[in-house]
Amino acid sequence: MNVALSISEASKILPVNWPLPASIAVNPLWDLVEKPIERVIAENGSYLAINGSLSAEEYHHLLKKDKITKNDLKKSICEFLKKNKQTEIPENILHSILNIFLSNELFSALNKNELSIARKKTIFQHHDMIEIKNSMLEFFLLYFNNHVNFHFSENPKNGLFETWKEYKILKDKAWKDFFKTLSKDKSIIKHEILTLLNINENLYIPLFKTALSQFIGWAGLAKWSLRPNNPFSIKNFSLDDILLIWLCHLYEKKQFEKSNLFNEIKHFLEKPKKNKNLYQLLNKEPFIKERIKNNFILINTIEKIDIFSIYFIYQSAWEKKYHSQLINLITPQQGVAPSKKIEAQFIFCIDTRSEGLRRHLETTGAYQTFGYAGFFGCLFELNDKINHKKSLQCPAIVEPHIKLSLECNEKNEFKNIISNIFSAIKEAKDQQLSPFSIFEIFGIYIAYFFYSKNQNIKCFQNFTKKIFRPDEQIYFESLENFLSKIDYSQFIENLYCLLRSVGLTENMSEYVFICAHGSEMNNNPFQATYECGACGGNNGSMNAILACAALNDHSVRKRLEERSIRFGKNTQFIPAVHNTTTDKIEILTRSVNIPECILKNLSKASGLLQKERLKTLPSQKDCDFKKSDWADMIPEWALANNACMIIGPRDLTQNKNLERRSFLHSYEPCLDPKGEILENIMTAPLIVVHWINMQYYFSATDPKIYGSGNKAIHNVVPSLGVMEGNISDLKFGLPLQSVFFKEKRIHEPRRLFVIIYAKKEHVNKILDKHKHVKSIFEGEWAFMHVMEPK
Amino acid sequence: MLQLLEKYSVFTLIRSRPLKIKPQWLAYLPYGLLIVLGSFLFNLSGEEYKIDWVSNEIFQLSFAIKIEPLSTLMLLFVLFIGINIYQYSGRYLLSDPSQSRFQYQLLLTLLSVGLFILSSNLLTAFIGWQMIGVNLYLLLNHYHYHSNANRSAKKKFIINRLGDMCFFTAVILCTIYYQETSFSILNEGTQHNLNLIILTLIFISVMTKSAQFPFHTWLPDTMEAPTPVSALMHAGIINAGGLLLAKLSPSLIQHPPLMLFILSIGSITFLMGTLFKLVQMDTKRQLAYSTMSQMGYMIMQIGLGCFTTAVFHLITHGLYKATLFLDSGSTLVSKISRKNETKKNYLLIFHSLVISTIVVVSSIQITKIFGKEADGVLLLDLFMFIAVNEYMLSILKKKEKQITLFPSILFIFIACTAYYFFLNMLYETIFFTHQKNLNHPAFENLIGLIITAWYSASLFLNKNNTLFKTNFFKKLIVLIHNKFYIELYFQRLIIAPFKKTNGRRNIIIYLFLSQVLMNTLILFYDKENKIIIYSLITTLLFLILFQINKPDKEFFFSTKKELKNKLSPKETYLSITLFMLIGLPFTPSFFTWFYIVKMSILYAPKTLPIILMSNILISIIVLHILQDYIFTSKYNLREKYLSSLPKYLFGILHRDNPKKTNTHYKEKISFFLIIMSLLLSFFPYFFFY
Repeated sequence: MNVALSISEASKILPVNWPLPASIAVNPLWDLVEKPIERVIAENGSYLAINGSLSAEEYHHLLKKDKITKNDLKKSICEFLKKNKQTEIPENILHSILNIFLSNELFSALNKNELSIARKKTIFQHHDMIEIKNSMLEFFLLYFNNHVNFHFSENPKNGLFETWKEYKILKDKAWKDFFKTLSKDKSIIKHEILTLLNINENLYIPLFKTALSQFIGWAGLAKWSLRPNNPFSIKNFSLDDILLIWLCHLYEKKQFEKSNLFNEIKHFLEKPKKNKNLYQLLNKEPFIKERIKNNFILINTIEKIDIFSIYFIYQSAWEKKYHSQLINLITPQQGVAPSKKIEAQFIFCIDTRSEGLRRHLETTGAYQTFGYAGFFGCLFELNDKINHKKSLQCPAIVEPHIKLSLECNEKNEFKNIISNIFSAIKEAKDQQLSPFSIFEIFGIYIAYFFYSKNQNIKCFQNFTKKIFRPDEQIYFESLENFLSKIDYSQFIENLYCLLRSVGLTENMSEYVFICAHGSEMNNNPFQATYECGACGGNNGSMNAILACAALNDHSVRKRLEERSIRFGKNTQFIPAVHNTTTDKIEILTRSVNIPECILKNLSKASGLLQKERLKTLPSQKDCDFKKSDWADMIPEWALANNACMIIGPRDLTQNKNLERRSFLHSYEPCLDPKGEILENIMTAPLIVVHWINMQYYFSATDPKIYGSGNKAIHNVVPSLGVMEGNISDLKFGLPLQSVFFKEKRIHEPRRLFVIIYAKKEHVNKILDKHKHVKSIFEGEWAFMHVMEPK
Repeated sequence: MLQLLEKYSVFTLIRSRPLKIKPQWLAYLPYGLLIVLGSFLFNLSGEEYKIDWVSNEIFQLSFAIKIEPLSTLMLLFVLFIGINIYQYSGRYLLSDPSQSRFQYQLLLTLLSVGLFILSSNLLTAFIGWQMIGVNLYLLLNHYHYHSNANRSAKKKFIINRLGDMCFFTAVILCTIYYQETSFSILNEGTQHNLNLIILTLIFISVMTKSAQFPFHTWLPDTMEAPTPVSALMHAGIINAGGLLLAKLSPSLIQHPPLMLFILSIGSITFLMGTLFKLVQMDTKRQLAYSTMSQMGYMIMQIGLGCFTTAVFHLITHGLYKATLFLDSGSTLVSKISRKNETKKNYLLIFHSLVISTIVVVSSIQITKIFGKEADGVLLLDLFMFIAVNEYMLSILKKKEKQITLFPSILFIFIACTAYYFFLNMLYETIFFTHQKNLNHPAFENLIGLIITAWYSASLFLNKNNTLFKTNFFKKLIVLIHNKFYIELYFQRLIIAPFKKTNGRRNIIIYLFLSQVLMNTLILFYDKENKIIIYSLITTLLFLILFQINKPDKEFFFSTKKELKNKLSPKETYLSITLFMLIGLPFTPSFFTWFYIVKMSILYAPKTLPIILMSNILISIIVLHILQDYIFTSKYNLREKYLSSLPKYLFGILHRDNPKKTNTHYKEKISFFLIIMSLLLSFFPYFFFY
């Protein structure tokens, strides 16, 4: 097999690791989504050591507490056997399999198996392997260091491998001799080493998988850098070079140091570990052995259930209970009485956190709420010169073509002087020889900052806000300038789609709020994971402002009215933002007079939501304290415990407490006879939601590999991500503090359950058209239930 | 009783959560108390409290605490930092099941730092020194099931052990020749040569504690512990060495060669730290190397004889570093402040050079007019000049430089003058013996030359200069990135010399036997049986204390393939007993080691290095055992090893059902026991007389 092909094949086990400042939730196994989830995990388990499910002990606990019922377990066993082409399953055999699954012996056998796996030493714990890994990690850090790197970059084309080669030659004479034995051409070296190591072509893919699976973070970053439109510039950092360096290390170890590493790796590659099946697992248990004895049909069926499937059978049985509960809850209501005149309409993001706000808002008055992906039809790249930040304000799947920049022309001289004087201290401190006396001159005054920051004193916050941030009024002025530069014609298609899928083609009320969301916290490197996922891990308020400005524009309205959208006479679109840390809603415009009762009800709803949410948070402190507390690792639970997505009108879920677990996307099947809008929803927001769900799922089930570890020992690598402790791989995924609290799970790992309120033909047509969407549901990465409208 | 104690103790005032009181000024209450305490202590200054611990033919041990302006200032500073970090960790580690253990360990560390600061004799300082070391070891081992955390804590402890042994010998030398160990006797300087030996030994231990050049390797590896530990260590603990040297300043000044040695070590560390910091990419290790260079700078100041400046630097650095560490999560989005300009604007540099010269010179002159002269060493003024120049440069590169220039010049001038005034104030309150003739012109000029060359190169040379692209520079960077291969040799020679030995089990059993033998040895020399009773009580207390505060909980929910890693009671006892072998204060082996070292000094001085080495080796072995058999997850080994040991050694106090006890109840008892053990350890006087 071709080397380049096998690299691309092997790199499928890597997730795309976004740099943390703009991190985005991703399904870590997205490239393997064509296969069923349990097969993917069984095949790659020997490289990545992932489970994709809870431990046997936890399932046992769930079974005891009746959270997994007998019926559901039976159903999921049935489904599993059907999937594996077992045509006839006699009732008595099914019953005896069910008994095995309910027995304590199975759990004890599973526990023993887990223990024995944990005790076994894998090649990844070989000390030479760890040595190679650590030296490579140290080098990656050096490579990204701007202070030092320019000494090596004589040739701007020099990539990772060339720099590494130069570094090694300078470091050690032995390496100089080593490189003499190899050819100088970079493209040949890989083939050369592979032939020198005498590796069969069939083993290329497993070899590359073993190499890459050690560097999920860095290699994932390299995979990310292949994306065409990235907000940050990143150096020449490719997967090929990482692999090449690793191969050089391996060959050097074999050649000079007489390490047994290579032999062990070869052994590992040639004899892949076979997963046990249920029969082998239970063979040693005397109690069950008696039951199985001489029942050959049972033994045959049991042999087809391998160990990973056992866990997934329990998992899907556990999920089934939730599914049935949810379907019972969401029965379409008949004959909804036409309500009073609607005072205002709100369009929220589909985020689970908006669900609570919508529920509470509807109780306060005659309001109508909708859900749409939080970018509200505006896709652009933002260069925010006020906060010195570049961001992509769109979902990760799409590439924006518009570039906007936000500038602030503040003319307050006094403020300028003071902020310059203070920021110059920071800049001078970062130089090489100056910090010694800078500390002496200013160190005494730092005591005040230290103390007031720690006590979170309000007057201190106000002070820093006043100095380092522009005035609100000036901010809004500059926003208007920013809006005038846009050519709205590009948005019209997107805006049309927004209004039609939400169902706002007529009956618009006087005030239509477009409400984005964002979070506010201090000293938290993971802030992007708390922000809006549809806006690329950023605050969505810019998108809301842009959408409202476009929809308030006369020319835009005219062109939309041509396409049969009826705006009300006095309809005004008002941008707002929902602060998810404090649950307060801020109106982002000054030009519209909003009636006070609406404002009052908004604050009432946010108060209700805050009350509900504070019960679940660990420290019962007011949110105003939390948002600026530098010591708080858990400002909010973000999207934890997400479990389902409902695509349909709000009538389905109105007045029902969904516990902030569901993504609600508005969809009116009657406005969409051809199914175009549904297609849009199922190819874009659905996939983003699936990614979010999978990120939480794997961070909760495999925190060691797909989680970024303990926040208390995180070590920040500026503009790239975090490491854990002294040196480790760049971390991927969510930290432990986002999915666990003490020893309790905050996020119950459940695969996404999608409920679609549409005609079945439409859904089937779309699934046939888009294979990758179909494979999500076929491989049980997510589940779907279609409700037929009457 | 317990409830009352808890209700009205100091801890409620400084407990982790800020008080739920509406008016904000009430949050200042603990700090107000600090000020009251400070003024109270300042009034008391000059008084010494002395307690005889043991006094017979062999041991003349006594505690002594003296309240003086320097120690009061330092105590207030450390308490301020410590209380803030305690509050911070209360909110920061909320998701950690073993948070209460962490908090108690933090408090214990703070208390031992307090003891060290107030001490007025070498023995008390040594005890504080040791308590800091052990507590820090436990804090660094907070995630004891991570082998990395374990390794770094072990590394720190072993390197510090080298210094501890030197300190220990110094204490014993003092007791032999002076019959007491107070600083004032050393400062009188009656026996010149003896003092030189003692001070050198103490300086070596300061080198290990304050991360000076050959012993700095432990510092950057301590990032496996929660952030508050790093903050406390870099702000309040690592600079203890500087304080000790400042306390011994009158006697240090009498030995110019030693001062030259101190100066050279300090400047080497300073240069190394600055170089190593350059190649770091991650925030925390950058901060660690920055601390290393700052500590070098402080020791350099001491070597120059500027003790006041050193103390001032130590405080300001502590405040700065604590803030930077606790805020280290916010460095993810680094705003590149100065763009990498391809060509430098020489006119601008010239302007800033002129302005900063005027500012520095005039501020020094003004302080001369109004008050006493500050330390006034040219080398330190050079650093001041560099800092002011960098400040002016970053002002001049701003867009709005025309309106900012004059206010910023005024600002930096006032700040500089204030700094010199502060120094003068400190100098007047602390009254250091200050001698002008202590300069070492040749060495000082050399360092000044190096720094001037370095700074002017960074100031005037463009980044594209061909000098930076030469092989020499590249090689230098490779060398710096590998830390001059120091750590490699350290690893091979000192940290893990026993890597390949087998059959550790034999060694352990041998160690136990030797402990029994050592304790019986005491019996012969202690006719009143005071020590043996005392040591039995403390041993028991230690056992119970660690039983309750044992690190038994796992941080988070264990996943499928990961096992629950618990320390069973057996293992805890074992680990504590092992700790008792290496001569920590308040354990029986302390007296044994004391006796052995003393006898060897008196009768066979040639055996002294062997004995000290043997102690260090024993502690290395003990820590290896702790790591391999108790903390890390080599389950097979652990089970095998534990089953083979005689059960009665551990089975006596073994509880059958540890789950039954209430954790809340446990905490209360542990709280009580900590206080009791502190009382017991610090004031054994009440028990014996």
